[in-house]
Amino acid sequence: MASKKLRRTGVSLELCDRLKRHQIETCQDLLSLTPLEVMRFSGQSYQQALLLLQTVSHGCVPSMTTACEVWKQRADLCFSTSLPALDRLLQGGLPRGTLTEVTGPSGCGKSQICMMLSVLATLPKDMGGLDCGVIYIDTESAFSAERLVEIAQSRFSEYFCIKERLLEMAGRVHLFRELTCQDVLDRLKRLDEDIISSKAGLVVLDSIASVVRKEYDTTLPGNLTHRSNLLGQEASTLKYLAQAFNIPVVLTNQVTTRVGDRGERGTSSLMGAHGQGDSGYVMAALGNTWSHSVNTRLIVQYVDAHQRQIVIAKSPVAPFAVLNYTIQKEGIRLEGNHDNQEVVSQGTDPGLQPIRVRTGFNYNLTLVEDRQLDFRQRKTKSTVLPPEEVLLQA
Amino acid sequence: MKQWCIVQFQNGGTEIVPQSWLIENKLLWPPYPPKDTAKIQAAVKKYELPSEEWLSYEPVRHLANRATYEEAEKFEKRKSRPNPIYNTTSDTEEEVKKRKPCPAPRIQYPVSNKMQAPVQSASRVQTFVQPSIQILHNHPSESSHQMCSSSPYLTEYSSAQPAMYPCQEPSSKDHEGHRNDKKKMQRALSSYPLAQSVKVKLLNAGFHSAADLSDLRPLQLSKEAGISQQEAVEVLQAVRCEPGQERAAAGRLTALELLEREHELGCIVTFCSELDTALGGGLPVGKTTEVCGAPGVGKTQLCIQLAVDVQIPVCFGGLGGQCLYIDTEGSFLVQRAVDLAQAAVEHCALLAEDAEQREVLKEFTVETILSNLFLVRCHDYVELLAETYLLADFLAHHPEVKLVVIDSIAFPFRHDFDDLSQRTRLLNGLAQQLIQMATNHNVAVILTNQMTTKIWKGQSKLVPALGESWGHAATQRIILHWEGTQRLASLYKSPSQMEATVRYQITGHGFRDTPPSDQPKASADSSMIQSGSLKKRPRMEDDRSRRM
Amino acid sequence: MVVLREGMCPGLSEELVGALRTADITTVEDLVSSDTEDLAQKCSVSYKALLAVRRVLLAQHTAFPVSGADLYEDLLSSTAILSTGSSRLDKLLDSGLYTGELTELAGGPGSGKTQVCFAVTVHISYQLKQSVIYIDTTGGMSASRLLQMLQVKMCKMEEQMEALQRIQVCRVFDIFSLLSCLHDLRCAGLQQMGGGSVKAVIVDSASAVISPILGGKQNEGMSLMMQLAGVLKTIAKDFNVAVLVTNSVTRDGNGHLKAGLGLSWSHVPRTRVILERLQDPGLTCSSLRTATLAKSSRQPCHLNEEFDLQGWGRNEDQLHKVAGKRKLENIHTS
Repeated sequence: MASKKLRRTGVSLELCDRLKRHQIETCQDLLSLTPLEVMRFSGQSYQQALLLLQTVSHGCVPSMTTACEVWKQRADLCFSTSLPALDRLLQGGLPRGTLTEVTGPSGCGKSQICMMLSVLATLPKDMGGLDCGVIYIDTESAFSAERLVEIAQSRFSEYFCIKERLLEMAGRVHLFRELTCQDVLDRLKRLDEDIISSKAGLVVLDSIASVVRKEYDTTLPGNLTHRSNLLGQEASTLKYLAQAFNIPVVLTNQVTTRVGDRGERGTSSLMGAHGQGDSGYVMAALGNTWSHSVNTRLIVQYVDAHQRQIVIAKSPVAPFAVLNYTIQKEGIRLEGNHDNQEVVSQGTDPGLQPIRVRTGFNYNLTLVEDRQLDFRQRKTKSTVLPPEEVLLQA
Repeated sequence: MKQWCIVQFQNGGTEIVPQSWLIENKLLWPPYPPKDTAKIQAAVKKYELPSEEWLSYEPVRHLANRATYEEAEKFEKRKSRPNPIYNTTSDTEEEVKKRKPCPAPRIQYPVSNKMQAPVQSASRVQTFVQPSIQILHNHPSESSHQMCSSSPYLTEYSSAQPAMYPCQEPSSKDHEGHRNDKKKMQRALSSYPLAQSVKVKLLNAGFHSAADLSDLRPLQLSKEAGISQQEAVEVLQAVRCEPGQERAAAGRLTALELLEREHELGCIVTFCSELDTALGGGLPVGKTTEVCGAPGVGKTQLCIQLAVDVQIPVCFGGLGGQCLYIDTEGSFLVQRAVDLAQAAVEHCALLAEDAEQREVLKEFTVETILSNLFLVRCHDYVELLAETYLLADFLAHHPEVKLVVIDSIAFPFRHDFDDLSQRTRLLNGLAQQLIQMATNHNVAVILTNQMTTKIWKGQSKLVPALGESWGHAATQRIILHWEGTQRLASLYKSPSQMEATVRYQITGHGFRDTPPSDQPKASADSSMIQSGSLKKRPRMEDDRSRRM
Repeated sequence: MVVLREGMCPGLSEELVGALRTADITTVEDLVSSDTEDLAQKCSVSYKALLAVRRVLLAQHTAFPVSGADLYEDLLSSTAILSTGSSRLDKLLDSGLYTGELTELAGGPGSGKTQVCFAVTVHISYQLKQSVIYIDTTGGMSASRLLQMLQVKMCKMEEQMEALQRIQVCRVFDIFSLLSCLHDLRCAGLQQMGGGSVKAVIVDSASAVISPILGGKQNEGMSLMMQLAGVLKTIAKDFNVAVLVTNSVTRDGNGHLKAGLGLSWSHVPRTRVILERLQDPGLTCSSLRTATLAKSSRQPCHLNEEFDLQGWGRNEDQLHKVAGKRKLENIHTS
């Protein structure tokens, strides 16, 4: 709306011409000026300049609704992840119209989650899906069509026993492979067309971090600003798309090591307050500013060779929570979680949430970590579940 | 024991009176004719005792006591001499001596014979043109540059026929009367909110101050200054509709009136009693508050909580207002608002005691809360700016709105700007607009801001985003941060409250106090409570009912 | 550059103005700078009349030299020094705020500028029993905080109310309203308002209204800023009041604080004090502040004083007891 021409907002032609001489043609051009600048360019008095600003504002202001109206359409508010425990915590699934980020070390299942969600989105509505297309932007070349099919077949073996359905599903996942920052940004700018033409109901960007981290060496001065500008633009575009089409957007992010003051400069160091400067640990990449941009952050991490955990680190609706899962043929399977046990009302800074990697070494010794260890021990004790329950949860 | 007091009247005059004439700040005065000073003085000296028919003056200010009349007289003389220091706390002589009486000794004025001559002539001239001194004094900037160029004329003038000038010298009273008008008209044209091109034309035509335009008609002005007739009318209206005292009086009030207003406006509770206490009862209405915090620390939660709490009916101690929620991050999830609204309704239901409250409660449902919550989703800074330009109109049409939330101000302004000074300008302007709105429409404005990493002296630390100058923008600033697993809220800047740091937590029901068991140490295990756990409920109800 | 107009002085008739105009003489400046004899010939008016008019105009429009002795007399009789209520700050300011001068407080967010303004306001209104005009441009004015400060002084309720009544608050939020507010004050004559005479005008803050108008593709902002400076100085001089303004700070290349609003504004205040938090601006809360004298005509610069915002107006020994430990003095009246 910002690029709306001034002519269309009810500004007189004469004034439009006068402003055009100063290269002011759109709402954005005019509203980016201070009233004094408007006075100068339009040759008007202060009062008139304010009126002009108001007129133009009327032309590009977003519409207003009430929370009640939004609530009436609550059926469309979430996208179920088909993982009951996670859905319950997130009050129905991934919130539509917002950005959800999945962060974790490599091999922990981020791409698995993305592919699983892609399958889900293509399912018919009566099976809990969205019955629509998927836009899958792959920057790491990690997408594998075989794996997609495998997940689909093993997860919904009954439905996908018909080969046409399988083909249709695969056909609805539109894959874009973009390998540079500029490509990703350009793709995002034009994504509205793709979303409309492919009737997409889910956008996946796997991963946001890899290209950005490859191209911007943050130890060089100035790069950090560039990088955060770029990320800000991407986040803003994605948010706009999510909101405009009321669809969920899933991003994946990498992890970064933080040793003292070296390493990822963009990530913050409030950790100093935790009293352990020298031990390195791993946390979400791309820094603090980016952490603000995502609405929901899920962290995946290792527990042991098979067990992994999914942590709800930031969410407007869900409390801080930890769920255990394993990666199976059918994708993600939650197991070893008792009802309600996983809910913790505390939490910690999602930008600094330590993430456990595969090595099995303890990377940090914070209280949080200790508690999670306790947690894990208790969990591991109780992982022996009756098979029915495991089945139910899967 | 006889004592004489030195008292000061309201008009600043002082008098010596016996102590017995003074009762607190009331002065009794003998009913002698005021002209008969000898008799009064005698009465003072004789220490006459007051009787029934004496007059009383109040209030007077008691300055000092002296044992004898003579001593008192000495003191009074010193007092009535122009003393450059308002002696503040004590009037003892030692104190006064200790203080430098005035900056006199340091300014050395030469008093050589040579210098005296011009001084004399100057003072002669001064008597002639006394009135114009006043006027010139009003233009310190102009007079300085005229000063240097004018001296040759001056001598010529002072030696020329003085007989001509008396007609110039109006009687001083007359002059006083005119002075106010004149002052009003002396406002420079460039300080009026007129278009710049018009101002330039006016200046070129020799119009500098409002006085120059005083008796012009629009047609004349348009011809003389070469501006269009319409512009001329605008200029004259701007200059004339200077309503002076009327408008000034409307925008002005004493601190006492302001105090009453502040009490009427009230506060929005946060449901965290510690934070409420730190804020002086809750989020103040009529002020802007900025909430800064790391990602996920609960900024949005606080905003949604306040958006619900502002609607608590008046009979429950709330404001019964509506809320406008401007969401720029897409973090407002209606599911969460429903949770918090549900908790608030249940809470009020527990508190309802009399019939009135129960009656009101029928109206206070999740649905009404949601329908009184206006939502706007802004995707970029242009939309946000457009929204703020129109906010004043919206608030005028919706007087029930008591809270405006902008969550967050930082996101749209943290990218898309190549020119950082442009960003600063826009933000400063936005901040002033919001403050103006908060004051004029009596709404609380809450802005959220992100944190950014700043490397300073080799250490990196988290500071609120948008630059240091933005720190001045909001009237209050709350910083939410983590300490281990404990969430803390610090009141960093506030005009009316002391800085404080309090704990809070975010539960399934919203923004709440930390349970007391956690107070000594935020230990990991005890802090794990279940969101649905019912055994926590009664305590929190107690807490909140105490507050409301 | 004052336009010639009939009736400006005796002898300046309509015909004369008209005649002068034909000779391209429209302003006083034109008239006095041209050769009178030539002009008289050119416009065919009487030389004598023209000369007389010229003299009168000169008399009306020239500035007037005042001797140092007169100035000194004037200074003695009219200058007052208003104590700020804190002995530390008074020491820095050479015993207080001087009437007739502009004093500036600069500081970052939360450095206590507004608190100092409040304390000065309360001190002048309560202790000195004088009126204060407080122009609030940031919405920071809080009458309950003023009341709180008065209550600390342990005075009677009526006295508190009287003191509050002596404080006039104007709330304006943009430069144009501020300018007209100040001009209105000037026309109305400060002294007519409220009880007692106005001794101080406080503008909190100047930077809030000025910073949005500086820079960008226009240059009017600078002119408006100087207008503001001019009118503040005029008010200070004409009504002999102390003017206190607040300003923001920026950091120079070395990370040192300096007052905001740029070079042009830096010449405006006569005395400038920079306030800072004692610690690094971390997340710790403390009410200790340092004040540094950055500009003064009386004292050496870079004088440094520490003070406690909480202990304002109390005795110094009391202050030292309170300093260090936190004490909330929220006496709620509601």
